[in-house]
Amino acid sequence: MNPSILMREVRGELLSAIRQPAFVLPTLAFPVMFYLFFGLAFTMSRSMHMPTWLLATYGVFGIIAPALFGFGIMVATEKGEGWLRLKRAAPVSPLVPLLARVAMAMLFAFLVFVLLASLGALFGGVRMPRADWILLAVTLTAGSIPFCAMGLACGLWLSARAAPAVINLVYLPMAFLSGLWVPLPAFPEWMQGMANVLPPYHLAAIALHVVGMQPAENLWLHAWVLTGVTMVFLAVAAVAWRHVQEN
Amino acid sequence: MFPRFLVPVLLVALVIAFFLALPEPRAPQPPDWPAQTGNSFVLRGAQVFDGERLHRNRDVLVQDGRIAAVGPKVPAPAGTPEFSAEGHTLLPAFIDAHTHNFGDARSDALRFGVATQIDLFTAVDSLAAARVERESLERTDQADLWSAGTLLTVARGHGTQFGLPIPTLDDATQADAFVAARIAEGSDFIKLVLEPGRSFGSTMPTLDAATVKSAIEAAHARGKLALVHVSTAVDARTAIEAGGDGLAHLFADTLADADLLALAREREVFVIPTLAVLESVAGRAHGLDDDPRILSHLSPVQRESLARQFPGNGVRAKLIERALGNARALHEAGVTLLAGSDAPNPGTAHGASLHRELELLVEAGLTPAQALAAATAHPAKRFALADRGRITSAMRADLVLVEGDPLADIRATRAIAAVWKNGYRVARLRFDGTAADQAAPLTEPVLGRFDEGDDGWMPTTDRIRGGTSDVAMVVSGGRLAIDADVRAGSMWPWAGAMRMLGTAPMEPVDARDHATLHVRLRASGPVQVLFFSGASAAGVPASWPITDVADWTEVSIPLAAVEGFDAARARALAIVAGPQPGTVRIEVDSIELRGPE
Amino acid sequence: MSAVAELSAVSHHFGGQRAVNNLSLAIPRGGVYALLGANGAGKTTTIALLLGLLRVQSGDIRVLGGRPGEMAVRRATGAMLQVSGVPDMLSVREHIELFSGYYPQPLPMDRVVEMAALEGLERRRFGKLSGGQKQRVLFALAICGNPQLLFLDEPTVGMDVEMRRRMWRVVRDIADEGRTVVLTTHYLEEADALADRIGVLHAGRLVAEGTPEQIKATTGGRLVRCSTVLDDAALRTLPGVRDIRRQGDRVEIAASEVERMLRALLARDTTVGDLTVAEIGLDDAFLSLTNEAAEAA
Repeated sequence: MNPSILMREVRGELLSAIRQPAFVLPTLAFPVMFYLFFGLAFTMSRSMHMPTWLLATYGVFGIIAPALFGFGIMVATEKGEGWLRLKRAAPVSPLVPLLARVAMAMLFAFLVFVLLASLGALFGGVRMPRADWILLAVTLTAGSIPFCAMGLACGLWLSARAAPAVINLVYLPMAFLSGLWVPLPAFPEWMQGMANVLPPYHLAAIALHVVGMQPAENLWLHAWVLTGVTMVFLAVAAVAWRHVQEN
Repeated sequence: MFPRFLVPVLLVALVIAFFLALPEPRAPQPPDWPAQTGNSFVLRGAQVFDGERLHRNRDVLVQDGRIAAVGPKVPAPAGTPEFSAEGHTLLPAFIDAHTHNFGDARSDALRFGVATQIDLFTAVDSLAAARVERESLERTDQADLWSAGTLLTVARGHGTQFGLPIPTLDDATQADAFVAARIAEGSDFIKLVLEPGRSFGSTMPTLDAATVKSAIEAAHARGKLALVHVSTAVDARTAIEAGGDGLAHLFADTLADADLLALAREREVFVIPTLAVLESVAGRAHGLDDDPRILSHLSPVQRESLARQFPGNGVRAKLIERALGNARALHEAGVTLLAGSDAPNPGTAHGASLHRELELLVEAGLTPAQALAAATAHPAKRFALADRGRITSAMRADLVLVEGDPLADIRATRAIAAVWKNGYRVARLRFDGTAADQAAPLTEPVLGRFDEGDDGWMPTTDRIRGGTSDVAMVVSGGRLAIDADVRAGSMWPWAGAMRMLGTAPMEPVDARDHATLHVRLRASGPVQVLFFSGASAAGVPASWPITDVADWTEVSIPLAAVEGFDAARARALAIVAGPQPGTVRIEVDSIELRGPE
Repeated sequence: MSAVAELSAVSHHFGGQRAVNNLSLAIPRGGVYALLGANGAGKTTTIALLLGLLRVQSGDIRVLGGRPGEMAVRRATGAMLQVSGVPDMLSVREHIELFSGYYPQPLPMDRVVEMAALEGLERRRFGKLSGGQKQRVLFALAICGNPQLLFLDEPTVGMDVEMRRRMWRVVRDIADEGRTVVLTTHYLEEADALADRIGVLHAGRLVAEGTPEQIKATTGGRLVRCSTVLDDAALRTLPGVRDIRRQGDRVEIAASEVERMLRALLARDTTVGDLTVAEIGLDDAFLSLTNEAAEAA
């Protein structure tokens, strides 16, 4: 794989994403707005440092959108418009656009981190050792991969018309039930149990540990769940890809 | 056109800059430091005044009560507690070169960062214990003590007016024997009084020149320093010519002439000007009670002492001016000045007044660094105090950490953030009713079941105060058995068993959540429960008598009714026989504190 | 003359529907090869198979000496597909740059822009272009890699006449440089103007193949419309009649030698009226070819 082709592809993905207000605004503005509103303006609990807790969970919330929308809706649209066929006919490995889009999602994830971290540090009094800041950035950036896989599977399965509806229907309840908006301990117990099956809950658990808000319980379990989720969605995407090739 | 290859470089630089800009938690500053239990730690990032010179951004490693290393980046053994002290200045704990040891003097002094007191006249019965304690590296809330013991004065002379019966001497022929007796008594050095009484507006008899000379020679013959109390220039000359090593107080009857200055310089005498007390004699306000940093830690006794005045002080207003002038002249002539407060004279208080003395020395023309040296390295050198007064390896970890920079403003010594004695953090009690520095609550109210060992009880007798009583303590069959043999021979005889309430010996704890002390015991004679509490570990304990318990009895003592018991600073409990002489067998089945029902 | 692409007995079906049926076809090196056929005739499926976009279900395909879809083959291939959109937010230049990057020896940007008639549109975003302009961008993406083999699937749909003629010239130039162009169209006129060879597809089968002249000869002739008393059987006996259709009281007669047929018709039926003679249109040509194919089946 030619690295300069990949770089050009990443650049194209980025330019394309940045020029779409319908993509940029929700992916960047939503987490920022939510964090400002719930994480900084309100203080719901005295027993934990809310701006730090919510920096981790809104960080996770923020990185899901570029991954899920970037892959899910954009792939479905491109499939519908035939762009995907044109790319397949072109002398470029299908991995290149795939990786370029993962890079784009990760870059947006990093951007979300930069925005939220700036707000938390400036207005929320969030203070962490440098290593933890870096680790949080890495966790959130790398943490977008399972959601890229999820988006890819959706985008390849769903039609361009159905994708936005289905993905929005999954995205918002999943974020809420995983405790990304309101900390899980504030939920009734039966709702807390539901979080276990949702990937964002597991990423948030790792992020919360990184920022020092949760003990290191089951850290590997969370990581394995996310790896498993990634594998399952990649397998689904692979099946869908074969299906695309035959029609 | 911007070179394209710089774009990724610039982006990477931006990301790195962003991460560098993200705020890290400030290392906890002294007020937020976690509790320190042991006598090993490393203090990082303070500026350090080592007794003579200032060093910026130093680490100081303390191990087992002594300074192990000082440097820019000192590695600490794993597990050593680390404290960050940026913006603070670490000083050797102060040496007050002129005090009189009474009551809570030594704990009051330590609370204000004075870890060593040079006593220039006190009752000699406290000296034996002090000599042992000052060699120890144990945890203590007391400053160490060096003392002149009984001073040398004539009958009805200065020093006899305080009500303490002391021997006096009449002429030079007695000097040698008298000095030998003082040293045998425990005096670390000899203090003579040359005081015609003029500064007190009267006249009084005092030592003659021949006796002074003989006494000083007797001290020197025994390898001891001789300090001379003076209040006039004439007496100062007499003292120096007689071979005196140091002058206590600064003569203030007149300004020193060049001859006297040259003499003092030539003989290398040191002078302890005691400007703090002279200021009080002159009737000038010390201002310590206006400074919240001082006020918050003053005990009622200290407050009272600071508020007292010398009678008729208003007529001697010029005295402090002359004293400051003489201090300046001596300093400029190259004579060593040592900081001494003369506490607890009227207008002074142990510990607190040394901070005023430092300020007055600066007023007299010393730089802040010279004033600090006059309270640290210089007295240590002149009094040959081997392991204190400086911050270097192997020194005793008697340290004071102050916020800010006392080398820029000497009053910063009052902003004490922490005091260490023998490497242990000193709990600086407050007396202003605020929560800070309050004792930790008592968490384990069961003080003894005696089912598995002694539960922390240990024998105690009056031998630590020079008595002769004995005790035997045994735990068996779920009971603590104490055989006390109380003998007359000290002011207040006792024998029994004792238990600390805090984790460290005599560490105060807050027992205010508890209402009663329940003891199930029997005893063949009268016993007392002693309650050690209050600002000082050396204070007189409160007591509660228990009589007629020949059979097993459950005694319930309402704590509120124990007169003199400070539940907010409870330190230890003891069950003892005494003070009546005799043998008593005491058996305790259980003892515990209980909350309000 | 060696074939750059060859299909041997290729069949392809989607679900139960057969899109390509036992198709064998050889596309010679150099020149323009037009796949002609009505919608649903299997042109696009054939192109997709040649590009490797569809897996070969049965039969065998070789392209440029390799299998369709192999990277080496794709590097020498350009394709313009029926695509409704490419990412709207990238400019014309950015799209071309991206695609040029895939190829080992792409054409210079200026040349691509000129060939695709995109002068002055380079900085415009794809989403802001008209339908014809979008088609030209897709054409640019197909040619920018300077490919040996160029597939154009309905290249001139949505273009005005002038632009269509300009495109034809460009395609012709490419072919004249010794490259091979495979285009699909349902305009006979386009195939006639451009192609060196034409393959006519119907229902997934190749129903005719040859030079435009050969094709026109088989489907050629004119169309006579008139009213006549003769019935179909009588009309069929006339010389050169290929096809007869009735529309109300009028009849349409397709004939290869129209003058001879007319003389015979007028001799047999003196009542002939409303007579018009026209060139046979594309639809009619297909119709005739494909009707024959249908009857043969």
